[in-house]
This record gives sequence, C-alpha cells and structure tokens, in this order.
Amino acid sequence: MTFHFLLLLSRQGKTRLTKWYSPFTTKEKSRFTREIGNMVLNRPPKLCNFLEWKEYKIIFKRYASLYFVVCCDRDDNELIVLEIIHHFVEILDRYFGNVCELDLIFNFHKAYYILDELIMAGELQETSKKTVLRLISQQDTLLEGGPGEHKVDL
Amino acid sequence: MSMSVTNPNIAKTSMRGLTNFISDLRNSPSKENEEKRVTKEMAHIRKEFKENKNIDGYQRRKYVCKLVYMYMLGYELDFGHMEAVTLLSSTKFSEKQIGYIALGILLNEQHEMLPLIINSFKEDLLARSDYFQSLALAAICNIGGKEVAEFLSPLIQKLLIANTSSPMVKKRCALAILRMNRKHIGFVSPDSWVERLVSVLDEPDFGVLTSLMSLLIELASENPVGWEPAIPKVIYLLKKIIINKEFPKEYVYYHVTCPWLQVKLLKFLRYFPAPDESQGGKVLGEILTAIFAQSESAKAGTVNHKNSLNAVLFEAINLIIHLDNDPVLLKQTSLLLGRFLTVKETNIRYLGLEAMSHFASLSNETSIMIKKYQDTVLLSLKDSDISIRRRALDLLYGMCDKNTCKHIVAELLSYLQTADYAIREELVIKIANLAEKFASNYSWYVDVILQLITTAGDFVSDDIWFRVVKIVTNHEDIQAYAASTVFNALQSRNCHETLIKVGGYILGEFGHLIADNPQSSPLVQFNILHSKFNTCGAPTKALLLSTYAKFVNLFPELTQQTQEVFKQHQSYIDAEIQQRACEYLNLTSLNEDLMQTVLDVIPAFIDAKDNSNTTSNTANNSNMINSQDSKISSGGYNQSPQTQIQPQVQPQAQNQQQNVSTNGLDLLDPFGLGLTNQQPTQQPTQQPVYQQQQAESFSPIQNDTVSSFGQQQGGFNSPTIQAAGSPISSGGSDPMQIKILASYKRLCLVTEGVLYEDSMLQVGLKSEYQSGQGRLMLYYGNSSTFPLTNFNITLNSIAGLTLQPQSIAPVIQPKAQLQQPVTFTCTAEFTESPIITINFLTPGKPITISLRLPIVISKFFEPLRLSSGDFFARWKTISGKPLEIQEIFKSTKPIDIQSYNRVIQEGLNITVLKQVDPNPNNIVASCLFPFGSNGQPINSYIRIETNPQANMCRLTIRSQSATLTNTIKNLLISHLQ
Repeated sequence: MTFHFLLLLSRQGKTRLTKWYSPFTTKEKSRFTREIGNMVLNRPPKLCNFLEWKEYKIIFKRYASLYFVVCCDRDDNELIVLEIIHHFVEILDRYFGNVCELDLIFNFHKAYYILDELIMAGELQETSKKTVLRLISQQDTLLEGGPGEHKVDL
Repeated sequence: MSMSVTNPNIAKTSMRGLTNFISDLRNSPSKENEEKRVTKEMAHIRKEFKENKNIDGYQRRKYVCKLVYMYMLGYELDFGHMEAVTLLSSTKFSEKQIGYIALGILLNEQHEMLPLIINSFKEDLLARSDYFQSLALAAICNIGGKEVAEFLSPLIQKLLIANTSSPMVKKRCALAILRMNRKHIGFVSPDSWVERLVSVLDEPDFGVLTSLMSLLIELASENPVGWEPAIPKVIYLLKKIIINKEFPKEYVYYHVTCPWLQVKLLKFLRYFPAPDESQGGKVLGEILTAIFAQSESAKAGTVNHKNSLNAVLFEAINLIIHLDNDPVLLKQTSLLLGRFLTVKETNIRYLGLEAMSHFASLSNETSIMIKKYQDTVLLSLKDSDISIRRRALDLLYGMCDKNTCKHIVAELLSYLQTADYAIREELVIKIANLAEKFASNYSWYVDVILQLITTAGDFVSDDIWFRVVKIVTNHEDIQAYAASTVFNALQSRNCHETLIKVGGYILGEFGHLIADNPQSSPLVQFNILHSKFNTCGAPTKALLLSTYAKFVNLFPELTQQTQEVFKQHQSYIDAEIQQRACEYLNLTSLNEDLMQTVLDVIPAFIDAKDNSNTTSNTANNSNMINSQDSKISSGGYNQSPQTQIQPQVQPQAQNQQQNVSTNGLDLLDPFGLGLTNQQPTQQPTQQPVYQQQQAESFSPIQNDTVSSFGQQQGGFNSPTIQAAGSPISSGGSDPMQIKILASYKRLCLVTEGVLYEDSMLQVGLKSEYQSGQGRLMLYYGNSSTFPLTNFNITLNSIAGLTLQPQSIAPVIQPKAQLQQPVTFTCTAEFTESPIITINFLTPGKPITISLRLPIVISKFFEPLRLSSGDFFARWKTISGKPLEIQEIFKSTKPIDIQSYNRVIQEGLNITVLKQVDPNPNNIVASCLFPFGSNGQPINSYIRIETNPQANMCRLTIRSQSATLTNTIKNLLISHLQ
C-alpha cells in the first residue's frame, strides 16, 4: 500500500494538509490538488470511495467537513487503505479530543508528526493506536521537559 | 468520534506567537490583506535572523514554524532553510523536532542543501536517544536520496538488526532502507541482505513486522529472485495470526487482528510461485480456507470490521487467483465474486468486478465459471457510479469471446448512446477492438465501426478509421458491401466528418463496384460527397479532392464536374488544398497514362502485425487510458495501423500552414495515408508555394552535406559499391570508402545527417530512440536527371536488434525523394551495425550499394551516475577477461580531453563521472544498458588514461557482459583513435 500522496481537503476545497511521498514538481502538486479536489468534492454520496486517476487510484473518505484523500497504486488493497485513513482519523481524534478542522489548522506541525508516526515513506509504519499515542505523548513530554524552554512570547 | 477532553499537551506545547499569526492570516478580510501580512512577517523574520545575534532556540523554532506555514499557503521562501538546519544541531528535542519537520516539508531529495545535513543525520543516528534516532530516520524516509544511502546505509542496517534498538527505531530503519532503495534501485541486493532481513521476521513487535513487510514487498516487486527464504516465515506468521490466534492485544482492530499485516503478508506471497510442501504450501491452503470461513462474519458488524475482513479476503482472493492451484478455493472464489456483484455496498461491488476481471483472465475454465454472471455485469454498465461502470466495461471486455461477442458488442453499442463523455473514448476503443478481434465476417465489423462513427464520431480516433479502411482494402470480398454501406450512411443529413472521410476514401477506391446501380451511379456518388464538401475541415476537403481525382480516373464522365472543383480551389487559402487542386487539375488533363498510374487502386496493405488490433495495447488495459492518448497520437506509428502512415500526416491535420514544407512530400499520397510513396512526377512550376516546399523538404539533407563533408561534393561516378564487409577495415585509399566511413562514424554520434552520397543518389537519415525502441527515417534522394527504377531496399535484423522496414515505391523520379520509415527494437547486446543494401537500375546498368546503418549499441545506453565510492566499489567486483578488456592505442590526432569528454558523453551516451579520478588526463565513465540478454540491465564501467605527450591512450572497460565490454571497446577506439 504505497501512498504517493495524502491530502486533507475541506468541503470548500481548501487544502488543510498535504504530504507527498513521491517526487512531483510544485506545478504538478498544485495541479493534482486542484484536479483531485474537483473529482472528490463533486462526487455524489453513496458511490464507492475509489476513483481511477492517471495510473493511480484515489481512495477517499469524508469525515465531517474534511475529505481525507490518498493516492496509491492501482494494485493496492483499497479497503485496507480506507482503514488506514480511519485509523489516522481515530488517532487525531484521540489526540486532539474530538478533532475538528481548526485543530489541524492551528497545530499543523503536530498533524505532521502524528502522520509521521503512522505513515513513513508512503508505507504504513505502526498499526497500534495505543503505541502511536504513547509515542506521541512521550515526545510531547520531551517538548515541555527540555531545560530552558521559553514560555514567553514576544 | 467520542472523546471530547482536550489533550493538555496541546496547550502546553503550542507556541502562542504562531497561533496568533495563523489567526491573523485566517481572519484576513481579503487575499491582499493576507499577502500584506505575510510580506510584513517575512521581512520581520528575515531581519531577526540577520540582525538579532541573541536569537534563542524558542524564537528560531517559532519563526521556522511560521515560515513553514506561509510556505504551505503557497508563498515562496527564499530564506530560512539554513535556520531550520541550525535547529537540527540543537540538543533540545523541541528544536530538533521542528527542524526536522520543516526540512521534511521544505526540501526534496534533490535539494542542494541535503549534503549539508547528512552529517546531522549521522550524529542523530549515533545518539543514544531513541527519539533523536527516530527523528533522523523519519527525515531520511521523507527526503533521503542517493547520497544518504551511500553514507548512512551501513549504520541504518546495523540499527535495524541490533538488539539494543527499540521497535520505534527498527520500524523506521526498515522504511528508511525502503526509501533509499527506491531512490537507488538495486541498492538492497538479496546476496548481502536476505539473511539479515529474514532474521528480523522473528521480531515479536507487529509494528516492526508491518514495516519490514513493506520493505520485503518492495524488494520482491522489483525482483523476487533471492528473497524466497522469507516465504516459510511469512506463511508461519499468517498461521500464527489466523489459525493459532496468537497476537498482542493492542493490534486488534475492530475485532480483526492487525488486518494491515495480514494483507501485507498475503501480498508478499503473490510475487512468488505457489510455495511447495517444504515452504508451507499446505498450511497456506488451510490459511486461505480459514480466511474464507471467517469472512462470513463480515456480513454484520461495524463498517470498519467489515472493511478489515473484506480487505483480507480480497487479498486472499488475489493470492488464490495468482496461485491457481486449488480447484476448491477457485470454485469458492467464483461463487463469492458472483455474490459480490449484487451486494448493496458500492465498494464491494467495485472490488468484486475488479477481482472478477483478474479471475476471468486466468484460464478458460475460470472464464467459463463466471459466464453466468454476464447479464449482471451488463446491468452494472448502467450503475450510477462511473468507477463501477469502468470496472464493468473492463470485465465485459475480458469476458468476451467468439460466442458472446455479438451480444456484448450490441449491448456496448446501445450503452454508447447514453454513456457519459468520461467513458466514451474508452468504450469506443474497446468496441472497435472486440469487433475486429472476434469478427467472423468483416461485413459485421464494417457495420460496427460505422455505427461507432455515427453514434460517437468525436471519440473515434483516426486509428480506428484508418484500420477499417485498411481492412476493407485487404479483403476483396467486402469491398462492394463496404462501398454500398458507406454510401447509404452518407445519405443522412448530419454525417460526422469521420464518416465523410471513410466515405470519401472507400468510394474513391471502390465506388466503381456499386456504380452499375443507377441509385449509386458515379454522378450520385460524387453529388452526395460534394454536398458535404463545404461543411468539412481542411484535411477532409483535401481528402475529398483526392477522391474526386480518383473518380476522374474511374469514371471519365465526371471529368467536367471534378475539374470544376479543382479550378475553384486553385487559389484556395489553404496551401495543401491549393496544391492538390492544382496538381490534380494538371494530372487529370495532361497525361492519361500518368494519371492511370498515379491514381491506380491502392494495393493491399502489408502489415506484419495484421492480426493485432488497432489499439490492442490500449484496450487490453483500460487502466492506462490516460497514457493511451499520448501513445496513440504521438509515438504510436511504430505499432499498428499507423505503420502505413507517414509522420507528416498528423502535423498536417493539426497545422496546415506550418507544415506545408513536409506536406509537399505527400503529394501523391492523395489520402494522406502514406500509401503511395511515389514522388510527384510533375511540378506545377507556376505555383511559387510549391517550389519553396520542394526546396525546404530537401534542405535538411543538403545542409548536412555541407557540414559533414565541407565543400567536398562527390563527383564520383558511382560504381557498384560493396562496402558491406567492414567499411572500417576496408577503408583503404578509396576516397568513396573513406567518405562512407566518415559519414557512418559521424552518424553513430548524432541523430541525423547524410549517410551516403554520390552523383545519383543521396541517402539521409533521421533517428529517434526511446527506451529500447528506435525509429529511423531514411530519405533517398535522386540527384540525377533520370529516374532510378527497380529501387529496392534489403534490410535484415541482426541478433539483438529487430528491424521492421516499411516497403517503398520502386521508382524515384529525377530530383525527387523517397522516404522509408524503419522501426526497430533492441532485445539484447549486439556488436555489429545492420547492413542496408540498396539496389536500383539506372539507364544502362544495375547498381548495388551496401552500407552500414549507424545503429550502434550506445544509442540505447542510459545515464548511470555514480559517486566515486560507488564507482570503485562496483569496479572492483569485476576483473579479468573477458568481462574486463584493456587496450592501448595511439591517437591519430592530438589528444584533447575536452573533445573526448564530449564524444563519450554526448555522442556515445556514456556518463562521464567527474571528480572520480583527480588526474585531469584521465576519464572515468559508466553507462547502463537496460536490455541485457539475461533480462537484466547491465552496467559498464570505463576508465581512460591518456598521455597527451606521447599521444597514447589506455582503455579499460569492465561490465558483466563480455559482449558488451568488447563492443564498448570497439566503439571507443573507433571514435577516439
């Protein structure tokens, strides 16, 4: 289940998070984001969660106001990719506590490192929710525990 | 989602300045305001970075975060990367972490800064903290490239195996290795890795196993050979999970044990043949049966539970189809897939159709097993979901056979009428292919294609109608039927332009077969075509003019009407049409013999691949529908119907004006199909446009003549030249031989130019190479004042190189030119260049010229960039004859390293590696030949040491193929000496 990229799109088509695992140029990235946004957002409900696009497959799922979109290879297992998305959402939800779009906007750097715990080099890395959350919270402890951290903003 | 307690860590670890900044941007009333705010912030941060000497880690972290955020919004960053790098070297986790996250977003593997941070990676990998190691590994997974692989792979390999490494580190190591291998294919070879990687399969941690399986799948997908030792362990792991039910609790996901790992384990096995008894083949059968049994519970439960079970089930089905060795399981599979076709969940229906396509293509038996679902699949064509419709179409295409084809094609045609635009093109191609593939009689085929054109003319590509024309031309028994069918179709008031083209062509060729019927008399045929003339685009008009010219030849009674049309177009704005009108007018009024020769019936098409379908590559694999377009329209004419089409045809249709010069070559190819290769026998000199065209069409060759031979224009009275043997060695004193050899050698390095020239004949060529395929356009120009007759070319394939020349016309008129496309494929190493033999008659005597074609193995080389370390590591693995050859030679001209570099790099496509050898008089180079006879790409490594004082040169070449080593040696000596 090689991911080529992952996009989080709002219902209005705004990009909330992008992660590219395969090399694309900046131009391609913005074109793909637009193209896929159109395909996914305009798709009527109740249809299947898979779209064939270029030589890839797009697998997506909507959670509240956010679309989680993954681009992977044609021979990847579609259902398991759907469950990876769900797994990611559950972890975000557990971490942020009822995650909403704003959490991801203001804590974009956290969203990235949570994603890194889960998916690395386009491949699933860890499948235990408990382990992922434990690792993240240990790192958070390191963040605040470091000596001489400033808490005052300029 | 349930929990609503906010994680206290979020508040504690957030940066207020960053939060405020993001709020500000979000609240910007307009894009301009946002830009203003961004500009201001950038200026502020730039100033801080530049001037604030006391900037601390927290501030730097915050600023870098802000920069990343702006970058994510789409603003360009021209600074800040260095600051992110500075964060990496911090000892504080918080700063390091942001540094790594920023670099992961801002850099890519080609970034110039990457070499700078490899050292930071190394330090963190060596650190005693799991977390520092993890951060560095994550960055390598994100942006690691070849350099990283070269410098850090031993360290990462060690970390993967070490007992002291935590699972967190191990799983990232596995993925870092995967990433490095992707950027540096072949870097993880089974010889040195298999034992260690397989030992990691004993690891109890499921996270490590999941990552490791990703790596193993990647490696096996590249080349499964060598990774077999993993098979028994993979089967054992499956057994442990599925049958023994031993697993850590936290890896249960909605009552399914780590479905991800199960899927990966099953997928891995798909890269290998069915495992035998010793590898656990029998156990695998039990496992697959158990998966079928447990999938029964997928009918109930949460959607996640069902998805997980079905994900494993579909992976198992794919494996069963791949193994193809268990009739019971295959039978179960077919029943299950049949059931999936009618379930409510769209996802499952989609996957069912997809799997059934694989199943159908397996064997005759399997395709019979699913025949009974054909009607259900036909229904799916009308599903509201385009993804489902696509799968259904694909499956029907695969299910089609001789017996069902008429039914399926009829269904597809009726579906075509209502199908949406997104799928029409694919549908049209598939229908055309099926119709041709299973046609029991060609009249049915003609009907289907005409119906395609009528229903969805816009989606019928040129290939399809070229194909129907070709088939009609080659099958005498349907010509009359085709003529009367198109004639009837043309009666409709709104004909698609493609129909007019087909009609024009077929009536022009075979209209006489139905001319006896008063309803379709010559005049009626002409009138019906001409009634459409004004509504057509220029290419169709041009084609119709040719049809009219053909009519004149067949039905003299039409002379007046058609000549009237030609006259009207004598000064038409489009050059091509103007030209045709003028020429046809002359042709039809001056010389009857000539007219009869030129406008004679097109002979049957010769096509080596006559059995292959128009677009078979295309339609067999609908997955590639996007790339198809480009294949068909661009490079496609290597392959099928286009074999007969000269490359000029397509630009002509697209852009008349710019391509007049090339169009000039096709004058007597009245239908633009490249059928008659004869050159215009008459030059209507009153047409200035045309004269210019002629001049231009010859120009590439003539320009080259000057450049390659200087002023030396051959005044040789061409004797019979036998240069075939070996022009190099036989190149004695004969000036003709020297000239031939010089041209050949020069063309070995460049793509176009003159290959041969004497007072009668000039042979020029242009070539193109792309991944194992090549295309040559040979130009034969008659420079004499008499026609060259019985013109005949012999060109044979050699070992490793398959050539497909096209036939050409037997006569070249004075001052005219013929073109001959030759396509060829490289399948293995080859040492010699193919020989082309040209025979023709001049008034008085026969002439034979044999030449070597400048197709050499280096044309197929691909770049191979290696670092110094890499080069020597590989260099050392090969030594001794015959894989290594060393040769010393004296150069005939003063040695110039710069020009050597150019010849090697640009002429011979061998990558010169700078900075490997510090001696400026030496050259180190390498190249990749992708089509080795063992099925593997072959790398070659080259060293050239020169002594400019003595004008001596020593070559050393090493590669895994003795043939290749020797061929490279010969090439280098011939071009450097």
